[in-house]
Amino acid sequence: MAFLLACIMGASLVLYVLLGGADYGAGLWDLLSSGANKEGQKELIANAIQPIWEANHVWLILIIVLMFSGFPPAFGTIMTALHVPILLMLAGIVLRGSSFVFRAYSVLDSRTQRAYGYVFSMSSCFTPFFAGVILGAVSDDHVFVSQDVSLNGYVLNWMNPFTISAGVLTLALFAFLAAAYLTVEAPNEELRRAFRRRAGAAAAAGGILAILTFILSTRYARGLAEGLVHNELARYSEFAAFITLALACFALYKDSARVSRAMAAAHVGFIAVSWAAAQYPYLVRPGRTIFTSAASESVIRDIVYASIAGALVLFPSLGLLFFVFKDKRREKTAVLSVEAPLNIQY
Amino acid sequence: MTALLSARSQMGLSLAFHIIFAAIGVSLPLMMTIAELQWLRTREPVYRVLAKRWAKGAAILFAIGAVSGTVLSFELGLLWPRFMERAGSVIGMPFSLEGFAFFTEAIFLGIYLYGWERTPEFLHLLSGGIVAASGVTSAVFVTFVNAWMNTPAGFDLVEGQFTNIHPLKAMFNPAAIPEAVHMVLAAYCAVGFATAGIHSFFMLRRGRNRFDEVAIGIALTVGGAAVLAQGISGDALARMVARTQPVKLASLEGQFRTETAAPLRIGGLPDTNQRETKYALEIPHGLSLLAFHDPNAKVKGLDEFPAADWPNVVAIHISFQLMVGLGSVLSAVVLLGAFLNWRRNPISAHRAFLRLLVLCGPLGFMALEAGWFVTELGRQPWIVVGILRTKDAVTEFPHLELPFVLVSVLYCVLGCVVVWLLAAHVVANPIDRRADAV
Repeated sequence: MAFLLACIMGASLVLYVLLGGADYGAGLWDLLSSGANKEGQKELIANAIQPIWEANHVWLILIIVLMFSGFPPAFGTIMTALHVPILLMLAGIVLRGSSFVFRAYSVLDSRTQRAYGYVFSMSSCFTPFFAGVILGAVSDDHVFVSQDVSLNGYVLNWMNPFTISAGVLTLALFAFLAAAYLTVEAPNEELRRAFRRRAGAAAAAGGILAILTFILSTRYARGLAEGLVHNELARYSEFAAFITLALACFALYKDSARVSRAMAAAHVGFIAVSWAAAQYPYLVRPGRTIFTSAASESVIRDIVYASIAGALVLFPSLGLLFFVFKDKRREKTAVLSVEAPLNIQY
Repeated sequence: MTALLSARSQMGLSLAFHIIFAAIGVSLPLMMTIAELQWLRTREPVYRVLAKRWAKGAAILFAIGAVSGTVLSFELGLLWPRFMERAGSVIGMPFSLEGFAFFTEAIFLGIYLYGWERTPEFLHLLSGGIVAASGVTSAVFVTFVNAWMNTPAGFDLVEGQFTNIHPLKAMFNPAAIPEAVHMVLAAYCAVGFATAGIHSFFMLRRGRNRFDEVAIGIALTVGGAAVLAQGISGDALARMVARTQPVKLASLEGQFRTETAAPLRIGGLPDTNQRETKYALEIPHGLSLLAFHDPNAKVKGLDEFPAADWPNVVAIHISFQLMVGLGSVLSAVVLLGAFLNWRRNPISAHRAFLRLLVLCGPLGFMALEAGWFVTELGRQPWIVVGILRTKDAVTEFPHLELPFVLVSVLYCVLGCVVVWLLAAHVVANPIDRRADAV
């Protein structure tokens, strides 16, 4: 049962990466928007993430909740030892979410709107960076908590070349996803080409960073590196990630946006799966596995049932959301017009 | 500043901030759905504009509520890791269910906000209804967790560890239902009166108009019904507290000595050194009657418990008096409004009543925060009453004042921006449609 709950958490992580991750990546492209159609790029990004980012964000909350319900000691360890990067990530989450709505609703004043836009895009970059750092830190054997005290301090236990590289890799993968998604959603040829170029650049950056992160892991995160090399699921996923990356690049070259979107999502999904498989059975290296930190069997069983019941409500709703907003055929009905003045006086 | 004080301040600030947005996320969707229902029934365009305006308010505030709620779910671990390590699996069930309810709310709010032109009318209205229902559901689940901290149940305690855990029994602990009902009603009351107050203010400035009139009508109906029901809910909650948390009851009533036929104290200032509550208006038999529905019942006083187990009696007594007093004022106001309406004078014609509504605008939220202080300060010095003390649960992380400062600054800035944006959008003059372009 603990294994099943860990699988649910892993699936939530993959979904968070594929859906929420793309929203962060879109923020990076907002920051880097340039060229003649700069405003068009920003608008496309805003329209693409506006209706869905809050729902996508809930995956993160779900992962946290499942973790402290099912694996309380591991949760306590992470929250004690990684207080600093988690706090920084939280600050990023708050700033990203709030500045995004603030920007959307300050149409009447373009200067403040730009200021919020800047906060939005900056925080969209450093939030996934710290998320990657945290994932790196739980897999690199430096997080020790004994008697509720972090033995390696609160800064040096998570800051090393491997975790930094994992953070940048996360950002690059999210950027790749976002660019690939936006290529499909672009309303005109010019924007489509802009994001196609960006997807190619991000794919290259992601590939190089993945290799760099792996090399660094052999020095800083030996346990994880061993898992990446020896765990069978991890090996298959790495191979699949490599193939899908190649296919995504080929589809970009051939200008087939839908194929490259699917391949980009598969690539990033496989990277996440290979990390999770290599990390197995640890939640936090080196001390906490899913078996040593699991709550009692009956508790885990109840949480798994609750998750299944929740999923029965969740997935149809989520399907409806994406059907309403991401289905191209419905696009033309959605023209917003300024409405006529309303007479309200008696 | 000690670590414990820093952590408690940060948690308190985060909750006090989040509760405002959470309350709005519970109530505003109900009000916007009622407005849309009225639009579909009457086809009067003013209802449609109102539904859109309120939905926009819900969008801005829901986003802040979502991110501040995320902060809270992490802060539970960041600040109280020992609490979460031990109790995480007991309270995991309501939190997991809350996660799914929140998911549903976020999904359908997205459909509602950006789907006016993309979905059929019926589906759109239904989305609004689902947002309102799932908002209530997630508030209920989160309050269940707080209730468990007050009246822990659903486990055996063996050598300080929770064993033989029954998540469902823990979820439906004695305080769960009374506290959740009280919380949801408080949210409706606070937001209803705040909205009525804001629209009354604009009605006074813009002159009598249909837009503000229907807005006040819906807001006051929701807030008024809630505040009247709150009397019954408060009674049920107080009796539950009397039964399960005598220390809290004694603190909020300023009851130092155990006595039969205890009086109800209105106002007054508890003096913990002399162990008496001074300057209070005492109604004989009142407390016994209210707490146990028996005029001669024995009410336990604080002197039955060691002073180390007392919460901050002064703060709780004052907060409690404030909450009850404000609730009574709002009940009187809504009864007055109903009377004026019954006399066939539309409320909007009474400028004096509109001014009164403006004054009442913030009172619902003040009562909500005061009530939250009562339940949270009243739980101290325990994080799980009778089992784990707050000081034993706090993290060993050094320099806790730094995150406290960071969170404080962040929330101050956010609060200011939100107020400014709402002024520009939700309550903007409905004749000026520029604000509706987004």
